[in-house]
Amino acid sequence: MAEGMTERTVSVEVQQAHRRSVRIWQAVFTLVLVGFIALLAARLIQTNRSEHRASGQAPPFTFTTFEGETIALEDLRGKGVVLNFWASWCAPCREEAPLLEAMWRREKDNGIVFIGLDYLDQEPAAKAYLAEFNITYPNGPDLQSAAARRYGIKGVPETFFIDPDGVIQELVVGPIVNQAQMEALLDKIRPRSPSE
Amino acid sequence: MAQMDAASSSSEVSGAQTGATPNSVTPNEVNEVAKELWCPLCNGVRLDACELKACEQMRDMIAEQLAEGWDKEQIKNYFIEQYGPQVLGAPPLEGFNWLAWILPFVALAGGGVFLWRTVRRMVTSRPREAAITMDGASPSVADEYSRRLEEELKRYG
Repeated sequence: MAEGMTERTVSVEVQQAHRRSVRIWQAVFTLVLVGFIALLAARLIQTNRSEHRASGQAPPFTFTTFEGETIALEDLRGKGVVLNFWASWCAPCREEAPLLEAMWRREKDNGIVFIGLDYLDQEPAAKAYLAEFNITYPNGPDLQSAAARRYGIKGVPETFFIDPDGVIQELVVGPIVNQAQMEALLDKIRPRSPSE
Repeated sequence: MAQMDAASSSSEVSGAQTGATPNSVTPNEVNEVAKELWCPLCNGVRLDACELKACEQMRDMIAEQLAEGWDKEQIKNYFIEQYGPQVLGAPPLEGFNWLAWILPFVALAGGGVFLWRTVRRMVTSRPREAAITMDGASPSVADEYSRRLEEELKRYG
């Protein structure tokens, strides 16, 4: 009888240990699952946020032109900035290239700076494109699409009009081929004259 | 508007070429490198199979680099510098990306341990249950068993 009682006690202990083990495994599994879902959710939120086009204060960036000059957006405060994302493989970019260059030549002494950021492109092709359209305003590669991500562009061309306080006033998705439209956009980012 | 897919429609664009593929480099040699890179404008398309103008330019660049004596790693590093690690098609082993590499193995190991324990429990619990029943150790069945055994012993003992 005593032996039976001992066996019974051992059996109960084995069952309790088994139940404990199951509970521990359940807890571990639940924790891993919840953690994984939380990480996925965090990543999703982060991705959604980065996919929105920039608005309000223009995200700062620095780039090096094809000629080797380093330019930071922050250094251009006080001037209107036309920031154009383009690529040599982009057909619509070619439609707006002559107008952008013409407006740059006209406005460069009026406190407006044009900047071209070359998106997912190859330098030889990009340089050939710049030469073809005789583009003289600062252009450089957007390495690793750093600026493109910050500005949340969805394609090229996209052009941001940034006022002298560094605030994005307008965004044009697609080529700008109408001079009147371009002039109206530039009027929104012109530096104020001292008398104003 | 040239969205990302507009790169395909620009294939008829004539200018902005990187020049002809150097004669000394064969398309197979270019594709040998290109197949380890991914189109930065598409989803899940390898560079050697991509027909976009942008990818064509990338392959031209690979040909030029091969002609200049660059090896595969140097070329891959160049494209990482230009386009970011996404061009490799796999996340680099750093920061948050470690999870993408580690998690499948952790899940596999965890699943393996769980399976092993479950199978072991299934295999060992049956004989034990049988033994327990015989010894009268299973509380409900065993109590009844003991009681009846005692009765029988008293009756015939």
